[in-house]
Amino acid sequence: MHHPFQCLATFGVTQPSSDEGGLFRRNILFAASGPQILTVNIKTGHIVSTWPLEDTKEPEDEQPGSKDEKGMNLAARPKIINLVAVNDGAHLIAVTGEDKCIRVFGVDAEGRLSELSERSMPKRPCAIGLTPDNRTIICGDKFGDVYAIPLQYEERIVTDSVSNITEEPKKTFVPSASEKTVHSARNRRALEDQRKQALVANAKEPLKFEHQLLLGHVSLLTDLLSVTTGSSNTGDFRHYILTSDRDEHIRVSRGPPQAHIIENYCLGHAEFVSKLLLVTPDVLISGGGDDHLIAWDWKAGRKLAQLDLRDLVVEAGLDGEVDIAVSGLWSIYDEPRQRYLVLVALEGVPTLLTFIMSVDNDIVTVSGRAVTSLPGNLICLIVMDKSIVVSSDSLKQDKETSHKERLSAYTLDSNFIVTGKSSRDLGEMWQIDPAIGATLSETNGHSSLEASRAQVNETVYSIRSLRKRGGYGEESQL
Amino acid sequence: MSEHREGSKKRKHYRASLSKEDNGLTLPKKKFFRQRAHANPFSDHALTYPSAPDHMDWSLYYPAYLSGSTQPSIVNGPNSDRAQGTPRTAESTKVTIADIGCGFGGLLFALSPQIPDSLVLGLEIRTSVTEYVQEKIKALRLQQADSKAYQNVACLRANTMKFLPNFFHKGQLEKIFLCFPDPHFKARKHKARIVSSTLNSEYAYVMKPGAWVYTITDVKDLHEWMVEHFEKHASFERVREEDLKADKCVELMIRETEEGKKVERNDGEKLVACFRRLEDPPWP
Ligand SMILES: C[S@@+](CC[C@H](N)C(=O)[O-])C[C@H]1O[C@@H](n2cnc3c(N)ncnc32)[C@H](O)[C@@H]1O
Repeated sequence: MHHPFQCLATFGVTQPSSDEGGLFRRNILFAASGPQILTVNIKTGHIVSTWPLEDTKEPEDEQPGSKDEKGMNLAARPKIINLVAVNDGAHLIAVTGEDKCIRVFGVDAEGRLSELSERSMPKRPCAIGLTPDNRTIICGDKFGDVYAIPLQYEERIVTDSVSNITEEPKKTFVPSASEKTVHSARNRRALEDQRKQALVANAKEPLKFEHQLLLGHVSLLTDLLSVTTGSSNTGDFRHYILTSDRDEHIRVSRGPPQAHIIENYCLGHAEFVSKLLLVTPDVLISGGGDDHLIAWDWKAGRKLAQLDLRDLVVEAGLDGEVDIAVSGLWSIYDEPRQRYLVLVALEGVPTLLTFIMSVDNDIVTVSGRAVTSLPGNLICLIVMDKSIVVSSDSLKQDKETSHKERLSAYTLDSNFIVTGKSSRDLGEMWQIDPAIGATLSETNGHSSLEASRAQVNETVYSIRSLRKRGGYGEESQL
Repeated sequence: MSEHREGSKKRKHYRASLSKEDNGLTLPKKKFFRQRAHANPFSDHALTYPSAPDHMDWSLYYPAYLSGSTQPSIVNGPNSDRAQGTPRTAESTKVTIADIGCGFGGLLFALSPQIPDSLVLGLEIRTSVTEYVQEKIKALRLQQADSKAYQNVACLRANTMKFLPNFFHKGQLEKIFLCFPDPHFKARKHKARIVSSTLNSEYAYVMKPGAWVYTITDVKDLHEWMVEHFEKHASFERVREEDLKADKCVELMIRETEEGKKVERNDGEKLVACFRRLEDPPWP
């Protein structure tokens, strides 16, 4: 099967307005399929660039053999697990899983990519954010650590960290304990091992680029938001880093250079937290393995509302027993009606869930909900003004055509008014957008990596595995 | 394996008999509560913990100080005589002292009579070690039911590297003890150490400005590690030697921890360092 698009990105809508390129860049869609990134002009529908570069051969000339070869090449490449378009309108960040790399691309006015740097992190990066000036990447990894690395790469061996909290110093080997240290047999063995390992440890290469450890969880880090409040004009500008983990926590820390200060926690989830979304500057929504989303006054760590997912799933006529794992959260401000739409993806579910919310100071009211059936499991989406481009994973056996539905477009019915509480009444909220849909056909037709169902599952479905499977760790070894 | 099973059977039997004999007055025997030295702080233990500090019912742990509601209330209970007429407010009936990785609880039992107006909590990741301390507290409370001693100490099972903010509010703790932490000698296991630059931020979070972290170890490398990581952390400063001498808890930590006693018998050195939680700076 053609690998589905597992990540989508666009530049934010806040481009410098005088810049014509800025307007143009809004039409650029980045879509990652397996190891490949396509840049698509959403107005013309043309693929502007692909990375890594494809064979120059025309697809028509391809012999079955050469296609296989190309397939092999792609198959050997690491899959993209995160794609972030930097709001400066000039950079794209891609994270690949197998090699734990953060790659930064320059994006020209046409949307073409040029690879600027490739940095291999100590652990697999799970979540990416940027500082308010868009000059530093904030990266959370599988071991719970959050690093700051400059967007612009400069090679150097960093021995000194400028952080307020520093990593372990690199020292020459000194035995950790004296003769008189109390030792269990285990500790004695460990000390012996340590002597042997000293060489190995020193041989481990330090990271050859500037990096700074900002904060860390002893857990798997799942999502990260870099949030600013106030403004420098009024003197109340503040930068926060919000992080979530597999152990139900949402942490609110100050941004660098004070990232060592934890301001708060938002605690209330009973299962892992996988996604964070800022709806307004004051209201955070979180979702994970629970049957509900939680809306927070995140600065106070206070729960404002609970949005029930299980009910909606049942009303949508889906399997009521489905393992709920939130794999995506997005929001749209519906300005004419002064309401917020919160869009939810559940892993392995072929339906888009929408909550209609109003936020009045710290009162969050859900005024309506909608469900929209999709051609396949909802993987991710991007918001383009009043339209959304949705990536789904078709589970149809028909290999010939199913990939043509990988991306689809919907538009908000501007006349859509909340009529009732039942989601059934609201089914028409999102309607297929034929105009954008037509421009996606070249992208859908692109011959992506041929992948097996198992390979696709590995890249696309990772959230449910965050659920804890009972406690047998008691006696396990480090 | 079968030996292990056999042992656990014996233990179960022993523990079941504990409460029956002597009306629960007998102190538990350590040998029935031993457990392998290290538990993995990264794995998903079958732990129970509150989803947030407000959901913790502390009255189960300090029944003489707190009534059954989760909201601490003024207690005129068994300890009011010792409080010398000053009624306890809700503010004062919170845990303010934590012994992290308390092991068999030597320090808890020494602290209890020394700071009777504070609630002291031991946190320990190993199940049976925790149970031992809990049994011992139960027995001591019964033995000294008249004096009402040991009502201010409790112990619970927790992985503090993950769940400290589930138990304590911001700025709640006045003292944290980190006594003879597992050294985790190997470099690749340093991440398992209970002191690190990132964990220190979590300690700072639950501590009141001015509160102290107490550390002691006989492992020089670990001592240097702890000193280095706390000194480099902008939320802490090291407490000066002369201030240590004036603090009675330092002395207790040196003498009364189980590990401290072992080191004593071996004539080993005990390396002490304390750190003060600084006020947070204004936003940049
Ligand atoms: C060497 S013992 C010291 C016991 C005691 N503090 C003393 O000085 O006698 C270290 C203790 O820390 C506990 N421990 C290790 N990691 C822990 C964690 N993450 N949370 C709670 N306890 C932990 C171990 O189970 C062990 O009992």
